[in-house]
Amino acid sequence: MEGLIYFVYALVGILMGSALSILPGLHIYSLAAISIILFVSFPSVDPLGMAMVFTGLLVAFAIVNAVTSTFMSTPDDSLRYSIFPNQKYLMAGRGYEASIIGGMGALGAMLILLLLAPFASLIFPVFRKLATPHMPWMLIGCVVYLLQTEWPKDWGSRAKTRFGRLKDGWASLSAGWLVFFLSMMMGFILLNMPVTSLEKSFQGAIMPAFSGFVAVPWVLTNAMSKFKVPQQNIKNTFYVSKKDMVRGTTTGFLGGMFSAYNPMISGGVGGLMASHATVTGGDIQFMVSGSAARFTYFVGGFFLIWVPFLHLIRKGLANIMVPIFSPKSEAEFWLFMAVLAISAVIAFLVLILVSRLMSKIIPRFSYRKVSFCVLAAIIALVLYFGGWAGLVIMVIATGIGLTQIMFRTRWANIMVGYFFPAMLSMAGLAAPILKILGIY
Amino acid sequence: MIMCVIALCLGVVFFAMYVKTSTSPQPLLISDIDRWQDYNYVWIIGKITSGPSVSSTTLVFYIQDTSGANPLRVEVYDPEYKTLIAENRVPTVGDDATIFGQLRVYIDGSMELRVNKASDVTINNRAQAVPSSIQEVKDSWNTRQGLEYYRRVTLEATIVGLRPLSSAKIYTLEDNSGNTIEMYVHNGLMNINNKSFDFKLLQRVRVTAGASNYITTPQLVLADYGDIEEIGMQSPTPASLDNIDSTLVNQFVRVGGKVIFVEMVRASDSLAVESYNIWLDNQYNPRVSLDGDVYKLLSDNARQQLKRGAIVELTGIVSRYGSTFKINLLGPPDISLQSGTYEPPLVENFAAISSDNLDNLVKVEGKIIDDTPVFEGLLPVDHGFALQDNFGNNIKLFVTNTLYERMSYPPVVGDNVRVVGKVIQRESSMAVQPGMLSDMEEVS
Repeated sequence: MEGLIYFVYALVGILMGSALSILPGLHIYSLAAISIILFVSFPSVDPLGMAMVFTGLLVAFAIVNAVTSTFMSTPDDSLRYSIFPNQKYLMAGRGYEASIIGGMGALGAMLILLLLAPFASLIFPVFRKLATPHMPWMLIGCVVYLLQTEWPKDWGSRAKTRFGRLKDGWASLSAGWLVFFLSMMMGFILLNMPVTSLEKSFQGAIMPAFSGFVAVPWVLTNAMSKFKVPQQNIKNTFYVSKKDMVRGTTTGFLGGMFSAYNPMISGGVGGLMASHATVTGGDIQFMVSGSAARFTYFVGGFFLIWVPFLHLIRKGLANIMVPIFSPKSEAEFWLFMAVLAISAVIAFLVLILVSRLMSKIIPRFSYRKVSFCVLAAIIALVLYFGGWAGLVIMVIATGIGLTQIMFRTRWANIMVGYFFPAMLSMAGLAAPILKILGIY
Repeated sequence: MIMCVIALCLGVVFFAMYVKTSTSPQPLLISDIDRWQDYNYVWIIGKITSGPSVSSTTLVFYIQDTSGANPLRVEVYDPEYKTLIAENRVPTVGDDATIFGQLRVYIDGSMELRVNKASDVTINNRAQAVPSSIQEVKDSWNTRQGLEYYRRVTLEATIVGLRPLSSAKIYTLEDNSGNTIEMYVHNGLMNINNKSFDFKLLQRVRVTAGASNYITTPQLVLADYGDIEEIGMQSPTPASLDNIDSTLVNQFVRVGGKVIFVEMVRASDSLAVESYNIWLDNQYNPRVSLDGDVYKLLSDNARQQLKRGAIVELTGIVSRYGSTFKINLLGPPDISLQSGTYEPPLVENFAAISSDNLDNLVKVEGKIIDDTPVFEGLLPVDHGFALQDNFGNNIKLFVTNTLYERMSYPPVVGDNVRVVGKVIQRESSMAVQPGMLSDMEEVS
């Protein structure tokens, strides 16, 4: 029973992850950096134990971080997908309910992952065999789909001329393309040349860019709006039907797993595509599937490295862990699954506690002041992780993020645009463009 | 609440599975590998059957398990393989090992296991060398069952041959009873301990190597240059070229003489030189044959010196073809050379060259008046130059494609040339065929 010690390691990770998850604007990549700091600080710790700390950290982040999105409106790219219903609930005094529903979605996704585990070593290796040769064009296909499936927005009046109507029809689409293009150019630069100093290089580009793309524009719009967070109701009964729960969870799991498996596809993009594929509708399904997609994206990506025969390295934390510990045996996989199950339950309980606390605290503060405080926290974090260069990156990325909000185009265009250079690189097509830009 | 309870229950179940499976890794049998396992990470437990071979980027060895399937190629890349070397953990033939890595299964059925980390190679039981003999190793190929054959052996033998390959050398070892076995020595082994490997023909050695195989033939595999040591030298039989007879067949002899001609013998399907025939002292003595690959083992200086006029002393093995004797200069070539000159008599009038001169060495000088190509299938053509003397007589100058394609400035119609060659017969007329590049020179 010496394996029980690994639950203690995981508990340490959960407590740390829960504390960190309440920080607005903290991205998963920041968490990865913290993981490295942890390892460097405790090099003599059992590598498997450290892997369990990472597991607890990640699970807590995937579940508890939903609090900041609901109560502070600072979503990351994966939560952006489900932020609208959460905001609506918050304004209706049901922020606690939204937060817990999200947690239930995450738990549901985790249950699917647990049920999938015994078959994972059979399914995923075959899937890898099938998908690997087709990966570049699959990813580029996802981008084309996202760009071209944006429905024209209703701008309030129907233009009188054919040209006017054509212009209206293409307004959102072309704005989407513009946002995609700007983000792509930023990706070409940040993913291919050092912008920040060497010691900041790990976090330097990505974390500030993502904060600028998603969190800062959202906080700024909140700060400019003059609404006040109403008194929040805390109740233990939730109006969630089984249908909404099952449908939302499975949809979210599908999208999350798609993005977990495929490089460069974020959880939000996967969730969006899955919701299109399954025609998800309604606030509850939206919130449940969003949280499920987010959980599966983060934890599912990490899960892939543990699967016997597969050991697929996907997403940030797996990459961080490999130099420290590489899972190799079936036993380690089962241990990971056990720790995952227990950690998720504990993290869910933490989510309940923190959501209750937030529901009591948040209405006492001016939402604008909270937004400015959040903005200050984000800037501090970006400065810490990326330095001044990181701050400049964040400002530029914020411009792109605000363009997306202003033209009401799809936010996912930013994400896929940013990673599009990496997809082109996988297909062997990036070098000519890099040459034109003078980077290569 | 229900979801939490289910999750906790599953957590307990999974922990029980962890406890149940945590005793040892679960290996995959090599015979169970199929195309769908391409890219899979697997454990293989078995015995090392061949290797190591080392390049600047990769260390390769082969492992076989009890499934009876063919050995699996294992590759460890730089810098991880250097860790194995530094930690003295390079797997060698006979070791029991556990390897974790990513499978690659190709469409042609070939497979390999790619190891990402040095720590993924575990040697469970390092094979201890046991005293043996060539005869015992060869016999055990038939008598030992499966993996039992692969082991480390120490034996004493004499180096009686060397066949160089592009990345390795195959030494032939012979014991006192005349039993021989080949020993594979990879060129990259110098990366393991930076030792030199300079063993000579007829050296007696004590070698510790892996008993392995090449296809269906037993073969020794050297794992480290330090695993071989000299224990003596076998002397060749002293002999003179003019008294080589059947009693010396298959014996190593030490002979010497003056090189009067060297001819390149071309390969049938390429422009490569298959062998070199060296004429010593006169045209009647047994010729010395030097394989093209062995010729490459000579130093640059020796290659330059090996031409007409050189004084040589060499050790070779006598062979017989019908009534003709031949001395085969085997690798590692044991030859000493001193520069010198030799010119055969100049034939001024080509009409004097008749069938009586077949296989004689002649020197001719004249003007090229014609160039007739002789087609050689897909290879470049041979050249049948017509050479005219000062008396207006012609003789054919036959230059093989192997020689012609090596010329920096090949002769053309109108050139005056001086050629040393042997007289041959081509299409019912006499011709002169030069042996090497130095046998042809342009004269004003």
